[in-house]
Amino acid sequence: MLVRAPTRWVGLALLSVVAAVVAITSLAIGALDIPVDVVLSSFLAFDGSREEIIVQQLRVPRMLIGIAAGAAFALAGAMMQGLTQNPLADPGLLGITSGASLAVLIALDTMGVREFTSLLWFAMAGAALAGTTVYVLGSAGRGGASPMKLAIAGAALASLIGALLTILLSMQARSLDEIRFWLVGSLAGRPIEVFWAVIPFVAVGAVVGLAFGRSLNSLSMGEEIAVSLGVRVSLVRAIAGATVIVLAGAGVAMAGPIAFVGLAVPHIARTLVGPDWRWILPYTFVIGIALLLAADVLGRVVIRPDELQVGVVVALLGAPFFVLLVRRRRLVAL
Amino acid sequence: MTSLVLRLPSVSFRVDGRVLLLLGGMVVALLAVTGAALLIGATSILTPGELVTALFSSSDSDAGFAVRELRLPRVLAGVIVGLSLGISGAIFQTVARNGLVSPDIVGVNSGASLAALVVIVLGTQARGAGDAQEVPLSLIAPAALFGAFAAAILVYVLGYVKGLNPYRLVLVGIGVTAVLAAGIAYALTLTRFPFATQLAFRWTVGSMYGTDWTEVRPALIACAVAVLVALALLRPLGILSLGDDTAAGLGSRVERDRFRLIAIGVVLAAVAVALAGPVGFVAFIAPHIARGLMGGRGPLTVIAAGLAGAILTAFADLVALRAVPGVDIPVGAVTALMGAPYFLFLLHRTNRLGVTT
Repeated sequence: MLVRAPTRWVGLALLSVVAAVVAITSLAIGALDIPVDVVLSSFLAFDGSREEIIVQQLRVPRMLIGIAAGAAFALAGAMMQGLTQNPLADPGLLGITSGASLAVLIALDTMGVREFTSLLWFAMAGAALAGTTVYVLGSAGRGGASPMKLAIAGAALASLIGALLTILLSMQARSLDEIRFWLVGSLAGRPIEVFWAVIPFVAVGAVVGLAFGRSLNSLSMGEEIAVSLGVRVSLVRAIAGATVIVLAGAGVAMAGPIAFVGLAVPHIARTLVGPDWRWILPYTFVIGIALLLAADVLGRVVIRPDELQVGVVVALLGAPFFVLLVRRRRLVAL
Repeated sequence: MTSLVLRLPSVSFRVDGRVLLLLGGMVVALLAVTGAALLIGATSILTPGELVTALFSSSDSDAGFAVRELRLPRVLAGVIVGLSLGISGAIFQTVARNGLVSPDIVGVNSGASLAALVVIVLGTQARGAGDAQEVPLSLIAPAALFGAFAAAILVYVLGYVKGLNPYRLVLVGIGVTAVLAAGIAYALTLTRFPFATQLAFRWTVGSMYGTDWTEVRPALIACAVAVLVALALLRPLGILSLGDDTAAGLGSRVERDRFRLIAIGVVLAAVAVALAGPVGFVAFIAPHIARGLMGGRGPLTVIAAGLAGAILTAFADLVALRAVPGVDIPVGAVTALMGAPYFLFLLHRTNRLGVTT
């Protein structure tokens, strides 16, 4: 574990380098492998060759969206874990991404909304509704929001929303044909405009999120102590909750419902820097970007010339992690 | 009310009159729902007289064909699915001593879906674009059965840490289900033809669309055998429901009995899933209805849960068929719409886990 502040800064810098390397790799590797020097020259001296067009038109937007989505999902997960004191929190597992998906489908399908910026608002509204429902239901009763209750409430809400999705889809075969490629969670084929529409939300969410380390530290000592330390607990919860919803909603709108990034990345960060949220959050930010981009690259490589969507790769990598987490921990502690 | 004592080789228990009356009432309700489902079809509504003629005369009339070859197998499929899921759910909830547990949670549903989808994707690819033939159910159903078992075994093994903790089982189940769901979403993107996409989609939610006798007959036999085995295990189930320590103190081999019960619960759920796909929430909600009616956890609650499941599924399928004219909504979507709110309500009411009713 990295304990001293200078070591932690070095670690963060190293991870940023890793993320940058993965990002450049994601420009080079794909159905067509493009040498790194061609990738670089497409930025410095664009000559309009087929390779350079692929890099600039397809892979750069994909990389940027991967960066935004990785940061958004990972930070949303970390905030949820800190906010609910729940090691199993994840926007996917707690039903928030399903809510956003349903809202997007309703907008696309029954209201005929086509502009991405409007869909983004729908995604956030859906995320907000689902997130609030799960939190209210999961935290009711004695013992407050236990991880177990939240996880079960999330799973149940996700299947309820799944049923609604199903009914909508079974009435319109054409929607099913389109939306199945989005529901799996993917970074492919998004225009660069999607990135520009989403980035203000992700940026605000990330800035607010990263600034919350101290508050989450106080919350982790328990509500009473946090109050006695002068933390305005309800305000912190409200802002952190809103941040989660903005981040998760933006993530779903651009990349579809991707689970497990929000679950796994904060744990990886925690094993590196210990329980200090001031460090967990920036580490989560960087690792989230590196992990999602790496998963995307992996998905392009494993079944060439086809692609495994990043949502599938992340689930395949993340689920064993989740199971390990559940097996290792004493359940009382959960 | 009067009560009588049943003594069978493996079970003996006291039954009071109220319980028998309730069970009788449930049978009547089941007959009423299935009768209604036979009368009301997708296209035409028969009078009871016409139904009797259609059922028992061997004429080749349209009504006769519709009732005997279309409606009857579908209604029976609903009963088989509901009965199996209800009993399976009751077993799971009693073993876990937690009302929020059901076979869905150990991955049975998603495992079956994923396996079915793999067969559909491979099948349509092998057949090629020219052949618009659907992949036959005789291939899909065994795959679904296999997928259900594989997923359940995986969850059981992964959830087993020095004995089986029901909470851990639930959490591992959620994790495994999530990864299977990713696989399902991926498989859905691989289907090349619209009919294959539709077929695959139906196997992600549970539907009794187009069920016929060739599917219902083997399912009926499997269901009957599994239910009999489950009934024979009612005694260890009752002992386990007292808690691990008490059960061990009474001489029960806890891990062995628990394994057997979970195994038969999985078999029952797998039968349902192979016939209709993953029909969600019936296994969860039926035992609650049964306990609410019977006011307790006696062994007969398991039977009542089966009946409640059958009524529920048959009713849901009727709704699925008729709610939106011209659209055969998957029955799994209807059961989820009925079940999930109740699940969330129950969670809300629960003070803390482990003491759900």
